[in-house]
Order: sequence, then C-alpha cells, then structure tokens
Amino acid sequence: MNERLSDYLLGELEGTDRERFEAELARDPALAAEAERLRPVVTRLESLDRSAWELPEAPALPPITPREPAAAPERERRPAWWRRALVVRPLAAATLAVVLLALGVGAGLLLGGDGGDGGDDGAAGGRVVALDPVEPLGGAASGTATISAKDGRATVNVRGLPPSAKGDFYELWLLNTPDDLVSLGSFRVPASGDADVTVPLPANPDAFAALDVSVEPPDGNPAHSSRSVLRAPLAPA
Amino acid sequence: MAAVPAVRSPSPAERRLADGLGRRDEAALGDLHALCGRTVMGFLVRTLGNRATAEDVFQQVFLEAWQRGPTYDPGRASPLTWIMAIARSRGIDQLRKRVPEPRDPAGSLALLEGEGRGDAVVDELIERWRFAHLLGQLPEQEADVLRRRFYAGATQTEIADSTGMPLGTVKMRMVQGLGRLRDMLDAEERGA
Repeated sequence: MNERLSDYLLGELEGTDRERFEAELARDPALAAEAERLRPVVTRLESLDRSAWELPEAPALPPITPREPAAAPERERRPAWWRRALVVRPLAAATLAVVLLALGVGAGLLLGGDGGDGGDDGAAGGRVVALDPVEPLGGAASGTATISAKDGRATVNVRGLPPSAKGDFYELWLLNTPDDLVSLGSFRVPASGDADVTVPLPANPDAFAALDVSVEPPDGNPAHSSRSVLRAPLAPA
Repeated sequence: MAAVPAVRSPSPAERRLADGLGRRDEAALGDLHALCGRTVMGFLVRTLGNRATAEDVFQQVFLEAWQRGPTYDPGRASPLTWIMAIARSRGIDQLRKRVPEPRDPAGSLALLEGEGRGDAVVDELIERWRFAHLLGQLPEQEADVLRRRFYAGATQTEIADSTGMPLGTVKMRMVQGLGRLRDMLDAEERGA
C-alpha cells in the first residue's frame, strides 16, 4: 500500500509533497484508479451527519405473538337498542366529525381515505398492535393500530386493502364475542389501498380481545357484516 | 440513478434471514432488529425530531416487516434496503400527519414537499443512514480510525499520537477502511 494515498485523500499532503504524489498518480494508472475509487467515500464521510456516528439504541421489538383470535361475529346477533346506541354510520360520522372539529376537540371520524390524526405529536406514547389479514377477504392487507388510552383515541394505518366499492365502507370494531363488540367508526379506502384513520375510543380497549376491521355493505344494517378483513389481538397494556 | 435494480446475489446470512421471515420465525425478526434496528431508529429520530414519536414509528416499521416478511426477496434488496424502504414510508406518513389542522385545501403534502421537508429530503436522509449502517459493519480497528478522523477531526499523526499506534498502521487502516466501505457501498448499490 502506498502510505501517501491516505495523506493525499485526506488533504494532508501539501506543497511539493502533493505535487510529487500527483506526478506519481499520473505515472501509475492503478494507483490513480484506487484514489478515484476511494475519493467519493472520503467526500461522503466528510459530509456525514454527526449523529450518524452515534447510532441510538434500538427500542425493543413490539410484541408479535398473536393471541387466539376472536371469532368473527355473526350478523344480526345484537339487540336493536345496542346497535342504535353504539354504531356510527358514515353520514352520522361525518356530521360528528364536523361538529367535533368545529368545537376544537380535534378528534373525529375521518371518512374518505387519506385521513390524519389532527395531532401534533402523532401517536406518541400509544401502544402499537399489528393488524393481520383475516382470511379469505384480508388477502395481502396489513396495518397497525396505535391505541392511546391516555388520549382516548386510536390511530389505525391500513395498507393493501381493496379500494372501497361504491357505497361500501370499512368499519372498525372493538371485539370480544359476536354479542360483545363496539363500533369505533367507519372509513373508505382510496385507490391506493392505504388509509390512515383516527377514531375516539368510547370504551376501554383492554376490555376487548381484538381490534377488528370489517367491510360493510351500504344496506343500512348497523350490525357487523361478518366480513372481517383485518384483526389485531389486544393484549392488556 | 439506476432505474431498474439488478438482481443481486444475497449472502447466505441474508438468505437465512429471508427464509426465517418467510416462515414468520420470531428469531428472524430478532436478527433483523439486531442488524438494522439502530440504523432504523437513528434515521427515524433524525427525520421526526422526537424520540417518543420515533419509537412509535419504529414499532410500526418492525410490525410491518413481520407482516410483510413472506414477501421479502433478498435477490432484489438487502435487508437494510428493504427495511429502510418501510421506514421511509412510515416516516413520511408521520411527517404528513404533523401538518396542523385545519388542512390547507391546496394540500398539506405540497407544504411538506415544496418546503424542503418532503420526499427528497427523506431520501437524502435514507442515504446517509444507509451509509452510517455500513460504517457499523466495519471491523472495529478500521471504524475507530475513521471515527477519529471524520467525527473527531484528528489528523493521522494526531491519531497515532493519541492511540500509540505507529503512523504507518494508522494510514494502512485508514485506506483499508475506506476501501472496505467502498466495496460495501458498491454491493449495496448493486442490490438496491
């Protein structure tokens, strides 16, 4: 190895020493090629963000062992009073969202696809759970949900869902059994297949076995359609 | 900019990792975390500017890696390239969420992308952190002289003085480290 190579690359050769080395480079194509090969690396190192030299510790992995999934609810199992009390349909959701935003509450049901959480700190401090596809409708879809009991809301990010067909919508649920579930709100998925939605939590999520996403037809029936596409087990925080 | 990624030849370790992710083997996710976790976290902290938010997004990134594991193809991308692509997407999602409400009808995305905080900036950060990851793969002796030179700003003579290493050894490790980094960069870029 030519010891002068590192001096040259690092700018530690000056005056006649530098001229002599450059003459040597001109006579030695292999040395010149090596200098040209290494020069971009030096440039990148010189411009490297200082924080990149001190990588932070990585947080622990999130829990990924799924619990026994809750059974999909059957349609028309809930009493009529319960449906009326807890289920929020698209029109009502949109109205509620407008009212809440107008009041500065900053929370609502976001319909129409690209969503947003309306918060400056995003999901900071929440508990993150993975939404896995439920066969046969889930396909390659995936998602995560960040549940913030402190803020009383959940942020759900879904990927790879079929875009909402005309009139259809997706609905979020806290789910224990077919007779024990709470609707959190509904949303539509645009052509991208991705959607980010933030919903208020009207119930303690720790009291439920799963967070469920179902696809719902525009039939005016507020019950779960039994057509789940994504689901996450909810282990207590 | 290469438009079409070349088919790469994954290392045996990368193949094992891909096989494990394909089987939804938790140990494989642990290996991915050990290999890339600090780089992903560094990128997210730098991009999002908030450690708590970065930790949330970090968890989303690894959950997504777990979910998408069976689709990972080491012939198309290194594990780092693959998971940094996920981190990039989730990082941009998080940045987009931060646009204050009510939303500008002209589009909050335009605000991010037009004011220098958009995708191009994130891509630049990705490149820096991929490079930082490669630094972490160098043998410690070589990484140490590079760190002393490019982070602490010491000359080779000063490095020799402070470490007690002969000056010739410092220079040799410097060139070896630079050469190894270049080889790793070439391998990454062929596979990216």
